[in-house]
Amino acid sequence: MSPLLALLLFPLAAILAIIIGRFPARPTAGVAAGINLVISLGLIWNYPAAQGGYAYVMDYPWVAIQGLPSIRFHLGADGISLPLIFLTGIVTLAAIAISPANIRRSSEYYCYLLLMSLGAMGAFTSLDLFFFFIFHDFALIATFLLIGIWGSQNRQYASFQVTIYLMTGSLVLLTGFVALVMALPPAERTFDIVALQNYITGHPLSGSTQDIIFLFMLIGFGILVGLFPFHSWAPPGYASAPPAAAMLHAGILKKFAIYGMIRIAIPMLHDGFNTCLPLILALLAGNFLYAGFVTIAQKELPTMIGFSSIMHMGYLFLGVACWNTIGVTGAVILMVGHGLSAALLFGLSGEITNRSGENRFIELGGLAKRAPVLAVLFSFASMASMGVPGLANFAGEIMVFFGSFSAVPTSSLVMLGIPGAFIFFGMIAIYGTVMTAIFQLRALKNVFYGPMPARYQPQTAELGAGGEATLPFPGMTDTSALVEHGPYVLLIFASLVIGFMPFLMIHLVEPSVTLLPFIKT
Amino acid sequence: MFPPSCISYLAPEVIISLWAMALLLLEAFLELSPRVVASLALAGIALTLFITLGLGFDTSSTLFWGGMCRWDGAARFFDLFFLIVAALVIWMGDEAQAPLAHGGGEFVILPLFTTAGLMLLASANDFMLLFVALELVTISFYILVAYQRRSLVALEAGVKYLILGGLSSAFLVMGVAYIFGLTGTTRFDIIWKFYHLYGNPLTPGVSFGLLLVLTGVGFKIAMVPFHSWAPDVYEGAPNSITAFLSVGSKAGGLIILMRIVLGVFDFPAASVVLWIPLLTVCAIASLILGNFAAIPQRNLKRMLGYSSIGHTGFMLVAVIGASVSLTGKIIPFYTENAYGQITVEVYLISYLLATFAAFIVLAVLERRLPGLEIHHLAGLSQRSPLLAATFTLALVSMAGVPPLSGFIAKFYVILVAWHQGLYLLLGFVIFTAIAAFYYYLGPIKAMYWSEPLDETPIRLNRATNGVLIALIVLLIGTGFWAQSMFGAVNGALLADKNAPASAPIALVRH
Repeated sequence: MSPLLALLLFPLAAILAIIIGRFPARPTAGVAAGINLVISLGLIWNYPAAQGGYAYVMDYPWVAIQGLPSIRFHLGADGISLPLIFLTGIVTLAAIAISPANIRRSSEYYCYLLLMSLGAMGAFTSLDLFFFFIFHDFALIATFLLIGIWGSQNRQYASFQVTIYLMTGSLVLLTGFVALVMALPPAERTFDIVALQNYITGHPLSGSTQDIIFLFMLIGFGILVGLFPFHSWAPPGYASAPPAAAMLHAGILKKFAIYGMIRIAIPMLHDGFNTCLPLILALLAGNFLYAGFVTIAQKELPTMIGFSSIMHMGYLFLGVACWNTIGVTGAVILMVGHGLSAALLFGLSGEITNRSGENRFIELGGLAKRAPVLAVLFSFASMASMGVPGLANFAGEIMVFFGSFSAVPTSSLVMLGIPGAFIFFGMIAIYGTVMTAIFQLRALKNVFYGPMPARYQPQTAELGAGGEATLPFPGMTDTSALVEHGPYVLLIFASLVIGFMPFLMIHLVEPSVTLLPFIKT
Repeated sequence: MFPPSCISYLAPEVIISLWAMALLLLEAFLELSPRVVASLALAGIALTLFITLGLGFDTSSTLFWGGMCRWDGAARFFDLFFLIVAALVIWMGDEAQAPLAHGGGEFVILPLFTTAGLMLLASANDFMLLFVALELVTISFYILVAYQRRSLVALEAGVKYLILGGLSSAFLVMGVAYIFGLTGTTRFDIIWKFYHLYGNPLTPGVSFGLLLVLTGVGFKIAMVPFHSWAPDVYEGAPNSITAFLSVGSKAGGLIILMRIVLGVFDFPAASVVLWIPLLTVCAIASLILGNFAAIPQRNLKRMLGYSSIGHTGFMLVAVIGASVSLTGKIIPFYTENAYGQITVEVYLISYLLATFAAFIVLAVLERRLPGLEIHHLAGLSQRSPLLAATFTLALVSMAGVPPLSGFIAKFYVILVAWHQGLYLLLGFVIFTAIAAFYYYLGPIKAMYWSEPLDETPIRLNRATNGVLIALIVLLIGTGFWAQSMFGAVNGALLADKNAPASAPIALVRH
């Protein structure tokens, strides 16, 4: 028995309590998520951070058939997965807290949110490829239903697009996993990540095999994370999803792919990684340059945030691609930072859309007068996303930049005649922060500051002559209730703590990162 | 002259046939109500199931009845499989669907005969027995498909099934004649020895015979290009019979396919040259046609008909993967090609659970909804959460989404295909599995997103509730705790041909 099992059992118990026991959905889900957050903090507290490695291990044979690769129910967490477990805990709580209490078919809604959280939790705690994969996949069905039932605009199209796109990615990924396991001699075949890693460290696969399998995994993970050019599912999907689902998916579930790169693809297929490195770098440059400019051109708030979350995947890929301690540590911290800021932005954009009934920039403006607290929260979220010092994203991004500047190009890059490749791509990433500043500040200005939309001005003036003026955005007021703003404050607080005290995270993450195979200092 | 065990190995088939005959007489003379007949039939199945479970579980093969029959792990597994299918079919026919206009008794009793035929198929070791058993299955299906003879759709289905079924039987017999004429025997093990031990070359005539036999079998498993009956017959037949056809007939076809291609003709001259390329083409065609033709379907039964053609494709990949000739060397039976056989059986278990879950829901809905088009499902989740959840899980399992049992099945198909180097097939498996998501999600969308036209809740009786919940638990349970499915198929393999058979071997004169 491991405390990690509790992280999976509490959401499950809450789901059963809601469906079978007819417990009130929102409080039950909230309590389960709260307990999980507390447990995850306790796990981090208790984790022997200085030495790294897996803790809280539980290992139980699951499928053992003669002649078939064995599957084990193997849970464990180290300094790389614990921050993500914490992220899952906190974002789930926030997502449940920002959901309206009177949403229609509320018991189903909260069950699906819990299922998504359960899927993410399971994926981050599993040390078996099979469970790693299936936990992620059954979160996708919950995503499909959440977008389809509670989404906005063209939810039908978006939910089908997202689900089919992501299922394609996960099947490609599954093929990669199967190929990896089957590439081993029959007696050594297993889905257990630790056993696989141990065997492969001693007996690396041949170069060409590694190249092919790594390409499968890169495409699979790339689709799931929205690596350019496999990103087209994300912006419309996030724009149509209910805010809580977008928070959970963009904040947590998408990190599954980066985590998989760190945990599985790069350590086990390192030659394949080196061969594919130019490709990875080219694609992540696409994330910065293509997705970045597209983000700037967006005219609606949710789509813009969707594109920006795609663009920010470039930093994570760059940090991972450096494969040195500082770069990977930075990527892990940035995963947490981006998870918090993406959750904030999606939650707040949903809040703005709901209260004002608008999400087009041209129809918004000057909302800070009507909702000052919301404006402050959104400013924090924008700053976090831009990587302003003092917030968690900065800590991660700066480490990724350092990582990219100190990374030594591999032979495949030198052969292509670009020895300074990493510095070049680091520069692109730094340019990415400039682009982020452009679109985030413009969004802030267009939504909260500046004049109210022109068409309201003469109208209010003329009407104002005779008594009460009709205000634009009738629902757009600030509520003073802590319940409404609490979740955002919680997320900002977490981001501030990590931003001001990044050593908390570095102490937790770095020792485990140094244990990764082939990692450069 | 027979070993003493021979009757006991055939006891399940004998008991169930006698039971069915007795029931036919009782029903005629005592004028029992269909409900009583159904209970008695279920009791008979329970008894047979008990006896089959009690039969010695030795994986070493036993030949009996002069080599007509063979008892091995696969025979035992398929016997149990068919009995469970029959129990569900009879229960469905009696409980879940609309009462028939006339003559309920035979509708419950005939599936017992079909089951006896299917069980004989599973242990056939001789082309003659295979043909007789197959005819028992097919003829009882002719009656069952066209049972609602006042309905035009049912009649159309019946006639189509009759004509195409007759044609395919004719092909099969013709093929058997060729094989018998050129090898001098109809027994599987002797034909195997004819090629393996005595090293005879494969003559074109036998190849042609094998081709004809595969045509006949292809019809049973709804393999493209012999699939055209499936959607129409699925639509026209009563729901319980559609489920029976979909699972029972397909499993029966697959076991004889495995007995013939894996048990007899699994040597390079026949496999690599002949049936592997042939089945590869048919599997690809089934995958593509089944999964893509299902997309525009609006009628749920037709959609499931096309999807069952697609599932045939997935299972064929595993059958091909079970061939020992692929790796180019004859390897011990238990290690390598056991993959493929186990995968076929695991796939069938998950297919059984999902298909029956889907068709029980459809049977319940048929008398409560104006029709069985996708849009009629609108808002089902508000009218009956249990029906909606069962149907959703059935479809999602068929689509192969973890952690349901269908995922395990597809996962092992991918594993086998990769392991045996069937990369082309693997590509099509993945490609069509993705296409399948699209049409499986359609009814889910209707059930959960669309607003109901009619708000009245649908109430189910206690038995239906219980069966549906049991199926849900099994769908999730066998997926999550996959060991259970592998435990069920453990040792359920075709007999090892290298092991000595217990019956004397007839002289081969050629």
